[in-house]
Amino acid sequence: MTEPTRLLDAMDRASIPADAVLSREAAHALCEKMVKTSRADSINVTVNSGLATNIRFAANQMSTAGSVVDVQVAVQSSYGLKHAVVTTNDLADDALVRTVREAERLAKLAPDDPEAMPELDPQQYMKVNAWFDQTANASAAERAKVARTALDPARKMGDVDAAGFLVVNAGMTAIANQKELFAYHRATSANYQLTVRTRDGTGSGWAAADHPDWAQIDFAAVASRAIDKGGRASSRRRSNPAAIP
Amino acid sequence: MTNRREFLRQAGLSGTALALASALPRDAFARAAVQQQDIERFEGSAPKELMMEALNAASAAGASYADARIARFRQNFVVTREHQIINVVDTDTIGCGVRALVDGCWGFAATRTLTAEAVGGAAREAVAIAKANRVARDRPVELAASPAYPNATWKSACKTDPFDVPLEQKVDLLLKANDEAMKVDKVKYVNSILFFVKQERNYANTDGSVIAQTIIRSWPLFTATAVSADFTDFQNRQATEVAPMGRGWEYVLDQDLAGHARKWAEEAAEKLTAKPVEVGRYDLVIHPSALWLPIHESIGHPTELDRALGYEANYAGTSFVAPPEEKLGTLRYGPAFMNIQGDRSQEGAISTIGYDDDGVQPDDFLIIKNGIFNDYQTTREQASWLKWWYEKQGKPVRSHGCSYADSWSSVAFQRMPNVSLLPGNEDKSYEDLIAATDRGIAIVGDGSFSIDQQRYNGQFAGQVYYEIKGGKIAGMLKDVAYQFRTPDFWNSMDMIGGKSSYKIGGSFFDGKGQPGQVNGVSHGCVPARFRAVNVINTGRKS
Repeated sequence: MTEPTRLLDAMDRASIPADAVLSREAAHALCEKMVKTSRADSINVTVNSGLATNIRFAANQMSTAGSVVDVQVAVQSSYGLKHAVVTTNDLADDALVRTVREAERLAKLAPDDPEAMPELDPQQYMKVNAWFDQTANASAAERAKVARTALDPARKMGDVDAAGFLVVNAGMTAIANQKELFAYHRATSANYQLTVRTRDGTGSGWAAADHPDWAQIDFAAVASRAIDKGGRASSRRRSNPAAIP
Repeated sequence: MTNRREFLRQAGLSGTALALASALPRDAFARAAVQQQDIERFEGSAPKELMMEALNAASAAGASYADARIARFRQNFVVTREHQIINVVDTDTIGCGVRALVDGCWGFAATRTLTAEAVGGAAREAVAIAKANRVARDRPVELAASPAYPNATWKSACKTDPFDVPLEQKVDLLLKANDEAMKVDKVKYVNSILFFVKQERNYANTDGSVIAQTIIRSWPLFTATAVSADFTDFQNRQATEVAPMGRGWEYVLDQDLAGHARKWAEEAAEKLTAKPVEVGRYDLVIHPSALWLPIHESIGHPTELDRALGYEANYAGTSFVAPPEEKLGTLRYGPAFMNIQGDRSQEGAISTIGYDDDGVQPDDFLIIKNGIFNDYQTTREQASWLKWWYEKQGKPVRSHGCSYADSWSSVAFQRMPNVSLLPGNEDKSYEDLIAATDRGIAIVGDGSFSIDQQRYNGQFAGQVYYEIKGGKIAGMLKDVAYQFRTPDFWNSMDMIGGKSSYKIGGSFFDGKGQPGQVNGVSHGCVPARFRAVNVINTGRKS
């Protein structure tokens, strides 16, 4: 497993913002700003940002394909056992202040939560390597190539229909509170799944794979497995319940 | 190897056709705030200018067609139980989604940043994705023609915007209803919820349409739970006859939750001592508050053209109403008096809208005409797939206007219009149908259900059930569920209500698509009688 080296490779993707996945430093500065703004007994900040891309195919045809960049900042403010959460996707300074104030206003209105827990002290978290550059920087052309692992053989066979979906995520999560806890984690994931049905309606096969590292998924093998399962399901005979002891 | 169940869980794809609980955030008092500067960017002529920026960028990058949506989506949930508030949630999000067509391939990109640079970037990304997909293309996308609407507007049938109503009023309304229900002996738990949706949708396409629409939806929910004295049984009564509607706060007030709560609670308590149903075949008189759900599941879903052609084979399922060339004009779905209309025009219904997310003004069309399957639900892309059928019928090849995206960050695809059972010629009522039935069961309200992915074998329950003897209600039953094969069920329908008995039911939560999207649905219908339907007892232990 390789150590991750960089966030999104904006060189090839001029239309994707380079800060679609916030860096540790940017996330820390954002969290610190919000914690300092707090007037409540306690504050907990969670930041998620990322890029989600996908491609879909069905009936042996291309369907939809997309790319979404978004960010979410969630603030939980607490007064004793009362707490409330407000989220925003606007990172402007004044917007962040208003978000904290709104959480504080709602927390004062909230009923006591008998299960409320105090904020954690700073923690030592195990280092997890879940970020892979190859996944984060998978291009639209590479995603289309994955779709072809199913579309090409299915079209060639002529008697099966493939429907599938590939989703690729690159994102980060950061948490922070007024006790100086801060943690940052970034992760990638690729998730491929498909259904292949025989046109005579007697067989259907499903296969899937997911991994943080795009390179670890044998997409062609996944497609072959679904095609194979569909064919083998088709060749099965109808069972006779009376013969089952 | 990851098994299917675990894989779907990890992928966050384990949605059901109608799911309510998953929509509720876990945090008490949660809110998503859209900030002032985004709202300012969203108001006035700014959306139009940004959409034009996106369309120009897409065209310059090589798109033969593009559309842009800049929208603000808000939700408000107020949740109570017994005497307390459980949850107050506001969600609020603004952004821009751009769809581009290049050489017959789609690309889509979305950004939350409403600047000319950002929406132009999203447009170029959408074009880049479409271009990349050309290597995998077989049949190019062809859009059916649609007129341009250069300055169109539309609004839901709403008198009072629920987002202008103070939280205190909403909580007070729910807690008063809870108080009334809690007065009933054996009723130990009460849940009540108000859901509100507001969508401010701006749309423009390279055909020349520029459309602004505001959608308001409201849904009060109420459930009373009665517990037997020895704690061996409990029964729920959900007030599912209070439908979600495309209306405002005035609709919530009209439902008079506090005025009805006691009756619903008493029915929950009565279910504890109701007679368990004896299994067998019965004539069923199904109230519109129950019948909308079988219509949704066994007619609405299988007549989605993308399902029928396998476009949902990897997620929501396929359809027994396929292939189109073997079913259109030949499949007898039900009796000759059965007419099922698809539309987006019924005032107050959830799917009602002026223009869909292809920029099409939807039409009213008959999915089932005189009992025979007549048409599918379509978008501009899908309408051309049925060219042969429309030409045979002497009809123009046009979309029925069923394109919808559940967010600015979601790509538009085919979603369900209002799918409704039209009234019969004779103005019969629910009570008339009961009076005409010698031995049967009357079913009110929708309950749990199950149906296979082709929508062929189903099982449905209700909220309350009544035994019919000699044309009269002879007492309450419990543990009733009925099973059917879809064509058998609808062909067993022998009597339906008239115009004055027509009501609308529905849900906010209908799932479909990858990435998964949720839309609201409405189904109008009249009461109907079905002959000799198989009824099981769901409470039987062995």
